[in-house]
Amino acid sequence: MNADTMNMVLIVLLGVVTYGLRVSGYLVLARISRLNLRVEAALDAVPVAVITALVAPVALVTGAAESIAAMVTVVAAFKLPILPTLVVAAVAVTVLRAVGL
Amino acid sequence: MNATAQRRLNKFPAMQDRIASTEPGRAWRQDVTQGLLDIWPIVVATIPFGMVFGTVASAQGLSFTDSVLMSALMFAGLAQFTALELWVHPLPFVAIVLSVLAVNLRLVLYGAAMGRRIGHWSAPARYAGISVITDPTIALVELRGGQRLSGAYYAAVALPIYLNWVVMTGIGYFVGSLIDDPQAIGLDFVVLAYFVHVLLAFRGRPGAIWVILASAAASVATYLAVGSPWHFASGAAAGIAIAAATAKPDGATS
Repeated sequence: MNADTMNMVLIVLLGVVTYGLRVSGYLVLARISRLNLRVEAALDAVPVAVITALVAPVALVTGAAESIAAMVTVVAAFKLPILPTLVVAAVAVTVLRAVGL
Repeated sequence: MNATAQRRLNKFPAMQDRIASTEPGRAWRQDVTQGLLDIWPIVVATIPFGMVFGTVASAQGLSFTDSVLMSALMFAGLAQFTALELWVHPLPFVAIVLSVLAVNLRLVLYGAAMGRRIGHWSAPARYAGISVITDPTIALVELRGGQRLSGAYYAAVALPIYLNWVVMTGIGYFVGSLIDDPQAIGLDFVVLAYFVHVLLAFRGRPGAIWVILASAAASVATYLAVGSPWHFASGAAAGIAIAAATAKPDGATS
């Protein structure tokens, strides 16, 4: 196979793999008609657990600018609607990076 | 209403009005409007990342069709960038597939969590809907979806962010990125801020703080000790393990 064909084959394979991941969790749970309490609680926690896992290293151990900006963002998110929060976050991290933190 | 639904309502008293009004007859326009309001900030924030992906794909020697097809079939930004980093011929198939599996493992959980709320959809709608579940959309589904996720609401959050990603990949492929380095103007942080805002919306849930603390601790420890992308899986596992371990019946707070 030439390089172009290989590219296409791998891209389709990655698409299949990614769809397989998305649908597999659903297919497993769809077989269980009544979820037990702990499974329900675990699934309820999915977005909070995964999103925390995505942002924690950036917020905590990437650099001083990111950590301070993350704290500013949390405070802003408590006080402000979403759009001003995003602006505050972008400005905070840009300024802090610019001053070399 | 069955026992499971009642239990869920007890856990989220603030959402009772919303869930009750999701009964048949509810105006779908209201769901679409709410969905668009919820998703548009992250759609705007991810425009440059889609364009950067198209630009990088072009630089890595992918054709236009390949690049757009990759965004359309995978719709998983982090995994796509990870794959491109390894994209040298002869292609390391195994390494690329394993990397994508590692980065995208969290999607198994998203499919499972979303699946509980779409039992009333037709089968094609269920499989199509799950095919585009991603980080911001699962958060919104869990936050606003209730027991029976509105198809109109889901379409309004899922379609804009999906189409944006695919179209911006195509534009970025040709024109290059208008913003060469999204980090330079803090756009990477805009995405983080969106997630922080979404996380705070979950704070009223019993035990949410313990999930956050466990997930953050495990994620950072794994990030430092092993490296990316394994911190996604370990943080998620720690968070949901705490939630499962501290689960109490019928709205009891932990």
